[in-house]
Amino acid sequence: MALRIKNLKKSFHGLTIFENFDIEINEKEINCILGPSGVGKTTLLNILSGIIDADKGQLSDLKEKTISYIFQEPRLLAWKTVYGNISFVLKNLYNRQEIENITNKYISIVGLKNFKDYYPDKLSGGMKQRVSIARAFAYPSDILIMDEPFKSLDFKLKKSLIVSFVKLWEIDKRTVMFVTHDVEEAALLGNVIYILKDSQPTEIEKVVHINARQIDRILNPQKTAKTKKTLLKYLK
Amino acid sequence: MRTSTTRSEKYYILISLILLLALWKIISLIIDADIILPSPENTFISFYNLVITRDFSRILLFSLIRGFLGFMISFFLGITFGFLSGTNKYFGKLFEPFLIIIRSTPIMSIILIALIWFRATNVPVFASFLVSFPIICMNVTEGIKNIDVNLIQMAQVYNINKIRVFKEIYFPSILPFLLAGISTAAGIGWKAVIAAEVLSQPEYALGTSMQVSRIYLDTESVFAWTIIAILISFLSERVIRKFEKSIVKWKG
Ligand SMILES: Nc1ncnc2c1ncn2[C@@H]1O[C@H](COP(=O)(O)OP(=O)(O)OP(=O)(O)O)[C@@H](O)[C@H]1O
Ligand SMILES: [Mg+2]
Repeated sequence: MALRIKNLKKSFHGLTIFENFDIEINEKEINCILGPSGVGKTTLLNILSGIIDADKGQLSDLKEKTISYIFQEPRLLAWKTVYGNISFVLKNLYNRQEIENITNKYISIVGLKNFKDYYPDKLSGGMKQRVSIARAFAYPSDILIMDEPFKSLDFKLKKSLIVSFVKLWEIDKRTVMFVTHDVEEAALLGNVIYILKDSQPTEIEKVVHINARQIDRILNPQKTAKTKKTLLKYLK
Repeated sequence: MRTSTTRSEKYYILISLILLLALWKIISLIIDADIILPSPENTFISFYNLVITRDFSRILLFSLIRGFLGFMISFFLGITFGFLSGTNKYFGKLFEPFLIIIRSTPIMSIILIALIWFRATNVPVFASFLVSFPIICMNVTEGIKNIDVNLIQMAQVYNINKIRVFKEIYFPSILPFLLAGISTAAGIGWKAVIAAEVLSQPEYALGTSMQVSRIYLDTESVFAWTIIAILISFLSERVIRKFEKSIVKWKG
């Protein structure tokens, strides 16, 4: 099953980002988008999530889907604690006990148990990013949109979050749209990887499919070497 | 936006007060005429005598009520108009010149016009309203313009309803601006109340008492009333700050 976006057109003040752009989003898979800075990755995600409107194009199936979004910036509420920022998105969906359980669960997954009552002001950039990740996972969505979720994290933390992400995803297979600059992340996580061309308007330069399970790739990273090479080649 | 006074800050305040008193005493010794500059001790005696008079509490209460009324009117109208200006571009543009005119009008003109329009006791209310309204209004508008659209988008994506977006994003974003406005407006409004009372002469009023003391060349009392006015300003500032700290917990 796939969600199809057809004939997408979007321009900003005469700058055309997308023109006759088609892309398929495979449901219950991790759809990865790789591409240079400024090519329109965030714009595409914003159109998918309904934050901005396309000038033209069909994306009818998307309208009814619920969405979680890990933005490029954390977008936390400064007046709410770590706990408050996560439970913020759960309030109208669950009863109090459930909210507490879910919020605490995701706080521990991202390793912020001891910072539960901290305000964002007192957190590092990476910690804020983790709150944003926890918030997106805690929210029961059909589609999970991630705009470079693992940037500004150190190597160890990134690794452990990627592992937690894969474990979570194995249990609860949502449709994921994952934007990254990092070839390694793409090769580890993507079921399908779209490489966008550095042109205006942009086009899909290459589509790479990977069938191996993410868990297996993480356990045997050497197996991703070939994919990484391919990806690097197309990214010039 | 740190407002807590640490121990050492308290010492500085104390030392500076002592220096001020010493300076005052020295100058009053040099001038040696209580009618021009009363000595600190005579002023405090006069202060004490004022406080124990029968009418003192009534005078104070009435002035405070006027200040409070003026403040409350500007508070509610300021929030309403500030909100309209911040959310509606056209309204904001149409309304801005009014605010600029009000802000540029000398306080004395406001009082003199109010004297023509209103009863004596209402003149100070009107004056304090007119000086503090633009401040609260502009701060609320500023707060609304300062709302991060990224957060609104985030709330939209997560299907947060409008009421919650207002309560949990709009309101907390505006709050620090509103509180800053309240603090400034209360200070300026209080001064306007006293100035207006001096001219309008309501029966019970701090400004009236001040003016009467001046007419009788009772300079000590003028000073004593001034100290009372300063103390009230200082206390209201403290109350507002306390309040601010208890609700804007997420800062500092
Ligand atoms: N709201 C906007 N108004 C005008 N131009 C915009 C707007 N949003 C994006 N653009 C332009 O569209 C282009 C694509 O931006 P976008 O943010 O989608 O890039 P990106 O691929 O996400 O880049 P990065 O990897 O650096 O995040 C850029 O040239 C940007 O200047
Ligand atoms: Mg981007």
